[in-house]
Amino acid sequence: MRRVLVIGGGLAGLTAAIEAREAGAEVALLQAGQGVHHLFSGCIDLLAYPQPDGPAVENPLEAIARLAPEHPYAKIGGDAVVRAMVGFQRRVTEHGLTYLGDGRHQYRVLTAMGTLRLTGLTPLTMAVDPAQIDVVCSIGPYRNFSAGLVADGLSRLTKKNVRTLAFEVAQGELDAMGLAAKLAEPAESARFGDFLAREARGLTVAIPALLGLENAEEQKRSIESRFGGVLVEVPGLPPSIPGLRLMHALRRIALDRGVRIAQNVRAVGALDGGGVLRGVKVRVADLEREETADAVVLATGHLVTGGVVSTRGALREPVFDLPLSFPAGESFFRSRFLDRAGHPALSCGVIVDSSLRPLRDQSPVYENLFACGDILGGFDPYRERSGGGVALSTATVAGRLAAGVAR
Amino acid sequence: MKRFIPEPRRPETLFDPCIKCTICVSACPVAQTTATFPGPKQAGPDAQRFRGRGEPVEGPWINLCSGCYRCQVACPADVPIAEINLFAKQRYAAEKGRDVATELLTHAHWFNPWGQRFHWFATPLLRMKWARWLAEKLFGVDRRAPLPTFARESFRTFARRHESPRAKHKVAYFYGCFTDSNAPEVGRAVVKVLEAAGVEVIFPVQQCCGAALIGAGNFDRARRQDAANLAAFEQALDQGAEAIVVGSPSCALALSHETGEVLGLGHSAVYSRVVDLFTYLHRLDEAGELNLKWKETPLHAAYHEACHLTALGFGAHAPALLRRIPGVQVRVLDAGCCGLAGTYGLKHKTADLARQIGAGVARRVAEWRPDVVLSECEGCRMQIEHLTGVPAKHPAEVLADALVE
Ligand SMILES: Cc1cc2nc3c(=O)[nH]c(=O)nc-3n(C[C@H](O)[C@H](O)[C@H](O)COP(=O)(O)OP(=O)(O)OC[C@H]3O[C@@H](n4cnc5c(N)ncnc54)[C@H](O)[C@@H]3O)c2cc1C
Ligand code: SF4
Ligand code: SF4
Repeated sequence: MRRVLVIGGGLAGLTAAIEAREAGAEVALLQAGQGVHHLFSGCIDLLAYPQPDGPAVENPLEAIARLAPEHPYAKIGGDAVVRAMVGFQRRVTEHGLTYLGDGRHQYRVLTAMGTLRLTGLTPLTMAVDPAQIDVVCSIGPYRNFSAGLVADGLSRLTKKNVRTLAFEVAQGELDAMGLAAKLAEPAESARFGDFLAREARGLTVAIPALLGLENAEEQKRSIESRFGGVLVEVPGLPPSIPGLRLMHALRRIALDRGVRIAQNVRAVGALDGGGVLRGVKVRVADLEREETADAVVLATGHLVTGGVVSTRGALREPVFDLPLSFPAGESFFRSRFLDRAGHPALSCGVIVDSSLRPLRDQSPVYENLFACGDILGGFDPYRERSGGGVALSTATVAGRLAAGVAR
Repeated sequence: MKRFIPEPRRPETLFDPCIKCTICVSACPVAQTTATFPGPKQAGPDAQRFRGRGEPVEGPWINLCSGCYRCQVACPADVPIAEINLFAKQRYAAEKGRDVATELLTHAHWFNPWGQRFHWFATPLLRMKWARWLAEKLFGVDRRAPLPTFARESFRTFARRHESPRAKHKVAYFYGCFTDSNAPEVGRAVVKVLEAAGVEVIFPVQQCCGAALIGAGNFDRARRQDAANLAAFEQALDQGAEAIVVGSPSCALALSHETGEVLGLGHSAVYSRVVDLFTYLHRLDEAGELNLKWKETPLHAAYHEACHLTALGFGAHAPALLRRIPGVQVRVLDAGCCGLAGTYGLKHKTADLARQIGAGVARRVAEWRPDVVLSECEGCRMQIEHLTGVPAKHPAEVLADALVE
């Protein structure tokens, strides 16, 4: 059996591992820490702003077809994006998560700032037209959500008078994780449902994204059945429960299919077999050992997770020292934090061919190394709003190619 | 590539790389369960800056850290958070002392030989309500917490008379106190599987690995024990052992990382040779040398990956091997920490918290209703049996039973 090694446990790494396993390979996934899911809204962005100063696009797939050739989407093609989306939606339903969207239109999701954000695939718990929302309810003592702020923003956007409510699940200080666990207790969910039945019967109610890590949709339905209305989750500050929910589901899907996940281990170098990789050198604290494989998928993310590191004024890819696409003479960051044109450091990444193999001087560094997700160059996930979609679709292709089957 | 580092890293100095992402906080089972613990980021890298000489020690909350390592595993910046917390506990204990329950439970290896000699008395005693009530009042050992039973014959005694046949491969086996006094059947299963796989097993004289002592910040005592262990196992390596196979993940973590990084015992050839049983078997398999024959064994099992197995960084190799046995179905729980964490689930002060932490594991086991829960860690096995009533075994026991002899 072909042995595939995936480096990185984020959206890209987990997806590549599952894909390679489904294609018949024996798969091990190594990760040095968690991915960015706990900062992640839970919505999978496909593409919203392809041009730095252009308008938002309403049909992501159509816009993907018109991207410049160095963009990761352009390398794998629109069909691969559609296949990845469909595969993703099919799998996560196994673990009780429904993701809506077909890539041909955008969803508008309410944020904790009271603004709207565009996204391609959205969890069922957020998939409600914001114009329908009547009430914003805070869940005490959660500090990172102001019902007033959200209601104000929403009222302005929808020209409708949006009310606020406050519900308390616990005393003292508990963070989002603790609160979500508390609210997921059947008695608390029931008490919340009854509270809404008194205060907002039959209405559409927005709450901070604090439904449980598991069975969130079931919990939503059971609360809704008590007050006869609709519950909408609003994603906010980290830790993001919907992001972690998605990670848990993907991990369990991978484990159910027999992927071995090794955590607390960092890939630190190549086992070079002359143009092919025999595997990677890995390290746990100071202890080094080798992991061998027939193919390797690099899904180490970007600056936050150490896929790209900055040392002595330069950006580097630390595992294989792969060349990065970084426009010469540019500074890493522009002076404005939310610059519309994005920051050059964030769009730098590994340069790959159409099979996602990292290149040096236009030829593959190793014929059996594939890269996917945030580590790729040629796109800016934050400015474009394309991070999740690029991670899913490039990982699907990388996983299949690493397993030795056609993309 | 970095140079070879002769001395192990010093976790207590490694708080600076923290990027304040809070990923660790959402991974901490204690912070999710109680507001009285500030969470790994504040307890670890944040507070560590203020733990210089002359700075007052923090409140007793530091002892709420269970030592599960989940924060450290989740951190993308390689901050050794759990180990920093160990140093903080040591600092706290040096100034404020330790409670009776902690002292008692971290010195189990003192009582084990007695418990064992008088097993006919000790085991039923530990099941008696009044005795447990008394132990809670006097010593702070939770009266409902799971406690082990004592075996008739220790593993040590078995090992003394057992002669492993010479073979191509040779390993030294670190069985640990629990296997020795409370579950020698696990040790015998490990030996049976290794020998069937064509491996000679030797049993160097060994002491408690000190994992529980380290977890309670009692480094001095642990240092004495592990210095002796290092000497014994270095000698075993010199005598041709190619690996040190450790049955229990917490012992393996103590011997391969904590001994050097936390206790400061310097570099040793032992650290990088420590593996869990299933990682060792996997290596044989990768080399094409694992030829075991299985008989049909109908079994529906749930596998629980112990937190300290995760921290070792090999990943769990047991599920894949178990799945090769015809009739065995294994599903990985992936439901978080069971809550026991060494002595955490046994002390009256933290036992309730431990049961709450383990609720996720308990729920999933209740949903699946497996015949058995498998885990390499004895603490997890005790706690899961306690929480669910489903029997728990070491996965080596299933392998041993399924071997065609
Ligand atoms: C704050 C924030 C919010 C975001 N929100 C959204 C959103 O709402 N929607 C959206 O679509 N996109 C969002 N994104 C974009 C996001 O970056 C991508 O969508 C995607 O999650 C990236 O996945 P990845 O797997 O490539 O990387 P990551 O999730 O970063 O995972 C990288 C993994 O590799 C591991 N790793 C790194 N180096 C090594 C090594 N040497 N050895 C072993 N393991 C290693 C890391 O520990 C980690 O597990 C957000 C990004 C950030 C930073
Ligand atoms: S996960 Fe690591 S980097 Fe992030 S806050 Fe915790 S210690 Fe700091
Ligand atoms: S070791 Fe476990 S209990 Fe302690 S801070 Fe880390 S995650 Fe929390």
